[in-house]
Amino acid sequence: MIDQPLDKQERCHLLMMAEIDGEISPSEKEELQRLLKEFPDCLSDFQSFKQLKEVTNKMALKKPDSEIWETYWYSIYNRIERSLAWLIFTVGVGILIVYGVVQLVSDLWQDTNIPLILKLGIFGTLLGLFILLISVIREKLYLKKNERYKEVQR
Amino acid sequence: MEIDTIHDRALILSSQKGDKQAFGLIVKRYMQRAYFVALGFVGVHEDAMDLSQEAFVRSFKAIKRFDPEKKFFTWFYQILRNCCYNFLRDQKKNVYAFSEISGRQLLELRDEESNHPDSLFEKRELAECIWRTIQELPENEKEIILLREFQEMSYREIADLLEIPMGTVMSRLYTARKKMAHQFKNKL
Repeated sequence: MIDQPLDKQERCHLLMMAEIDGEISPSEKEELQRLLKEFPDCLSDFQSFKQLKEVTNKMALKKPDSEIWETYWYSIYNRIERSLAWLIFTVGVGILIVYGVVQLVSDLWQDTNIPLILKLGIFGTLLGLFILLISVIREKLYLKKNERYKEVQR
Repeated sequence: MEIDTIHDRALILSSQKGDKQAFGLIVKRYMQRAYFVALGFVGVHEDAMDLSQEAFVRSFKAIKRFDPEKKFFTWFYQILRNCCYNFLRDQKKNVYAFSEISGRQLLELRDEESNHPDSLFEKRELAECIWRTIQELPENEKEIILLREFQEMSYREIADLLEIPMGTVMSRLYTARKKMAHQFKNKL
């Protein structure tokens, strides 16, 4: 069961775990008894672990109402469906916005009644908004690619 | 290969072709397990329900990248765990408050009826203290304790799920229990 070379005391620690969790073989049980005689500190820990296990054995997480499970999948189905709808909606809005902006810029550029300074102001605002949008999208994509919890040790 | 894995494989292959009903059967198989894993991490019923459902949505979106020869729950567990960790990071300021109140709402004792009210009260208090101590353990120790004590998984199952050696499972359990036993030295 224990798959790496260990010193005697470390092995005793692991065998104590196996014993209180009921995952110990008869030969390991005998070995544990020998090791507990050899390391009295472990014996005292072992008693505490057994008492702790008695309490945790009686602890359980409360089960939610059974009706919750009947709507569980339905709720996931709705979320999947809605995320697809949101994607289509976003693409549609994106196309409309791009079309609108192109039309606006083209009309403004051709309109000789609008002063040049006003045209430059409008183009500057639109260009700034466009750069901000690209920057936010790029940041979001970067965060998505770089998993924030990959450094958590398993 | 286990029967469950074979059955999962067929459902996953269908899900990869976009069959939502097949994915629904996978959800129904694992939903309770997913909920209790999330509950162990976040300690609030509504959040556990929401996060476990969100993890299923994300796994459906990524199902085409999943190798059907592997165990679904092992893969799904990583998604669920990331959802929970991200949630806890976002809620960081409130986590302590959650662990303070959640023990009473979340826990039950298996033999409540057979206890005298005074003794029951003491046992509940102790169980709540132990729950708070578990919540304060480092993530990798807390995770192992939750899987062993509340999911009742074997060492082999935990090792497979977390893709770590069984010896590591046992040594993390030892470290976690040592801390817990130290905390409750005079109460147990």
